[in-house]
Amino acid sequence: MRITIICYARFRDVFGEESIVEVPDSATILDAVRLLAGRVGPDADLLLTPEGLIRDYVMVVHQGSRILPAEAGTITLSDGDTFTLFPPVSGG
Amino acid sequence: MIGITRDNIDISALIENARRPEAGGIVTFIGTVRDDGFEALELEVCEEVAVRDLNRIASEATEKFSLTSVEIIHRSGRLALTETIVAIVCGAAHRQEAFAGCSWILEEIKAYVPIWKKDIGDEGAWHFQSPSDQQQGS
Repeated sequence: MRITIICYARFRDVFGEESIVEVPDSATILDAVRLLAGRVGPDADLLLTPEGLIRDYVMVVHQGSRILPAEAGTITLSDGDTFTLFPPVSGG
Repeated sequence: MIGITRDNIDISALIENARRPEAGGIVTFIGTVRDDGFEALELEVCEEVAVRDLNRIASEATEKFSLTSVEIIHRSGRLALTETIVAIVCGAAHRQEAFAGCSWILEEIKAYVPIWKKDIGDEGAWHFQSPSDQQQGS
């Protein structure tokens, strides 16, 4: 399956604005994030803990809904899906 | 009026919108670009999500603090020192609710709305406030 991951701000600088990852059927958001993170070497730790989980501060938006990082491993993707990764915000 | 704009914010218009017979107080917060050793600030916004969040925050604040009106306008794009980053105007029957609502809205924006600041100078840096990366924070 082809999944598109869109990154904003500092994540965009590190991981690219729009990335395509190829994942197997039944892959989850967590699987796709791990593939993306695996492309950048040590900077992968911006997204992932040493245990390979998405860091608590990462905001994930999939199909218009916010996904808790802890739930990313339970949300199955479909071919052609897109999701967005936001770093911690700093507005105001 | 709730939204994101690349233009200067007309604060007087926001305040005028808040004038209503039922409002006894109008509190305004204006966030501005502080000189922290850079030349300008670049604000990046995921507008689709940000506008939805701002509307959600305004609705919750109206209910929570019995506000008579809420105006929130946040800038995007490049801003010079002293320019307005965000304007929040809250009307309420009494001042306590207006002050509390305005403060609560600002903290919600800082915590949830996908907006990022980048210093523009010799070497721009994103403001990034993760627990493991405090040295990059504002």
